[in-house]
Amino acid sequence: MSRAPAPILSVRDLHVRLWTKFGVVRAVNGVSLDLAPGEVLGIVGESGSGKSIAMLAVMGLLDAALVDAVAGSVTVGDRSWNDLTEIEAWSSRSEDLAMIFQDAQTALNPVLTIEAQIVETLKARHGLGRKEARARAIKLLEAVRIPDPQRCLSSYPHQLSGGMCQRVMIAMAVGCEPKVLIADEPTTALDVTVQAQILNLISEIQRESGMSLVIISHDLGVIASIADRVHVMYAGRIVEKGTVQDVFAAPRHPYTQALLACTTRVDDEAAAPRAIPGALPDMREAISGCPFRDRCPIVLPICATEDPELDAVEGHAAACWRMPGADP
Amino acid sequence: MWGVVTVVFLLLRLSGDPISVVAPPDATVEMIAALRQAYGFDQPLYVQYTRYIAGILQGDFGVSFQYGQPAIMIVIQRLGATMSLATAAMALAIVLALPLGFLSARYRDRPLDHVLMSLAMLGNTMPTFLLGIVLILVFALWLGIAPTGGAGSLAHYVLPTVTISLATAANLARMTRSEVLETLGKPFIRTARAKRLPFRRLVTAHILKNAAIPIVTVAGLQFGALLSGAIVTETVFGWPGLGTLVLEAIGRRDYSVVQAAVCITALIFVVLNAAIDAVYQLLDPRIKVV
Ligand SMILES: Nc1ncnc2c1ncn2[C@@H]1O[C@H](COP(=O)(O)OP(=O)(O)OP(=O)(O)O)[C@@H](O)[C@H]1O
Ligand SMILES: [Mg+2]
Repeated sequence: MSRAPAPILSVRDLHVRLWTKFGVVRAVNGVSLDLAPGEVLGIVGESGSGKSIAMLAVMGLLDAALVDAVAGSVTVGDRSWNDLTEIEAWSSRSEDLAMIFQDAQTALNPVLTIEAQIVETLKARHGLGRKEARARAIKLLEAVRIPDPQRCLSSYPHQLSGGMCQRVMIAMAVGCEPKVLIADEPTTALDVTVQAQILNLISEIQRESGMSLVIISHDLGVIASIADRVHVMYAGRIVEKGTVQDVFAAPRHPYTQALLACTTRVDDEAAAPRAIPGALPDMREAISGCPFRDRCPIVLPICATEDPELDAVEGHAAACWRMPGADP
Repeated sequence: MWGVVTVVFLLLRLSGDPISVVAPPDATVEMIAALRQAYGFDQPLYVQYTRYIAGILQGDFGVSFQYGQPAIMIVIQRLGATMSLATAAMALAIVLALPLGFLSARYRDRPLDHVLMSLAMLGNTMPTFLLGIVLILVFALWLGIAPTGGAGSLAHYVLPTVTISLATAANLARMTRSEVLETLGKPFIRTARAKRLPFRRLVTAHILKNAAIPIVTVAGLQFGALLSGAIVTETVFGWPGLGTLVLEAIGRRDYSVVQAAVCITALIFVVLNAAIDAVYQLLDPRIKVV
């Protein structure tokens, strides 16, 4: 087996507990992942499975007021963080990481012009002067195909469409020249035609710059079209991982199988969208056994008592007692 | 504005006959009648009212009995003293409240926050006149490092300014704290953090600029409260402002002065609101200038 290149981002055993109105929620329960340079990793999973919280924890962007505890370690390039509890309440973890969000319009400051927001970024990241920063901002806006960059610069976010705001966010993130870009459902808030454009743009920029990309999406089609590998999340953990081809062609975890069965093809008008019966388990309690067992069609007795582990091996793996190699 | 003017007019007419206060005790019936006529109080109410409104429209509030000068002149002189006191108090309140409110938010739920917010609570509930008296006792009478009252030098400003501004500062500090915390939860702060902006830029451009919008509104309203606060405090400190003037004028039924004072104060509030709106538009580009 050939030695894989050293990962640009690795996360080990990430746990996040959040304060909520209903008590402490165990939002992320032992997520580990590795991202190779230039790789595109897709993360899927239903709402509330902890995708956003996990990535915000990696970024060091969790809201300090919301966090009960964070554990695990994050390595970016050759720097490691082993104590994640001390949240950098006023900053983020590393300049090699950048992130774009689902709702770009609210992710931009409403009282500053686009110019102010891009220029401040370039000043902070590269120490550019005002003039150089402005020139660079125009270049960046051209790169994300904003038709009239001059005009865009003098606009406020509310004067731009959601798609335009997301382009600005991408320009700003790319301007930071990160080694890893994390895109949390970057197209969910946009209408369908714009979705495709933004997705192509992200994919293109990723290929040109050679940065790594983590893309979170509900849309398996999106993941299939741009990701190299995919991680499937359920109840705050990764339940299946592998290349896009492997996972989508031969899903191993019953949750992934159900998820794939749910996605109806656009050309298949007759098939009504189906949902996986049941709901996520109560995330307030520590779950003993497999978190999916209550919804699982092929449950075993052991599933109630012992949590199946995800094989640390590279390649295709699923956290399920039914897997070959998993010995009940 | 018109409503205020009318209400003042009616209230004052209800309050009694001014001539009986103005006239010397030994005045004859004829003298009183002559005075009535001179000031127009012999006319029926509606005629007085029409004259009054017509006068106001020309900036004429009539002549003060007490001073024998146009009421508006007297009011404007005294207004200057009150406004300078209120402005000094506002400035002090802002200078105190913004940094302290911000610190409180920054160290939320830590000891500093608890201490500051307890102080703010105290400042907010302490009656102004009581504070004024306590300050006079301690700093003027006991320590002897400040004048007890009056106006003239900068030193005279210190105690009344502190007295008036405390409640406003406390209010604004609490407001600043909650607005900063609210802003901190906004998605664009997450973006700003992700961009790794310098702390100062994050605070000034992102947190304070957004938190400023509601803070300015409250500060504007508080300025109104400060003006009223000044009126009470003035009497404690013998500050020759509008408050002292109005109290005196009411006591002597010097109608024209009271009317002028109330109208000017109402006008100030109108101007103040317009100013708040203007600042609002300056701070928030989402508000269209119509
Ligand atoms: N702001 C918040 N306040 C309280 N709880 C939160 C907050 N954000 C997330 N959570 C909790 O954390 C858990 C994981 O949420 P997360 O947002 O990571 O899910 P997700 O997989 O990103 O879902 P979605 O697909 O809807 O974005 C959920 O159970 C949710 O209740
Ligand atoms: Mg999410």
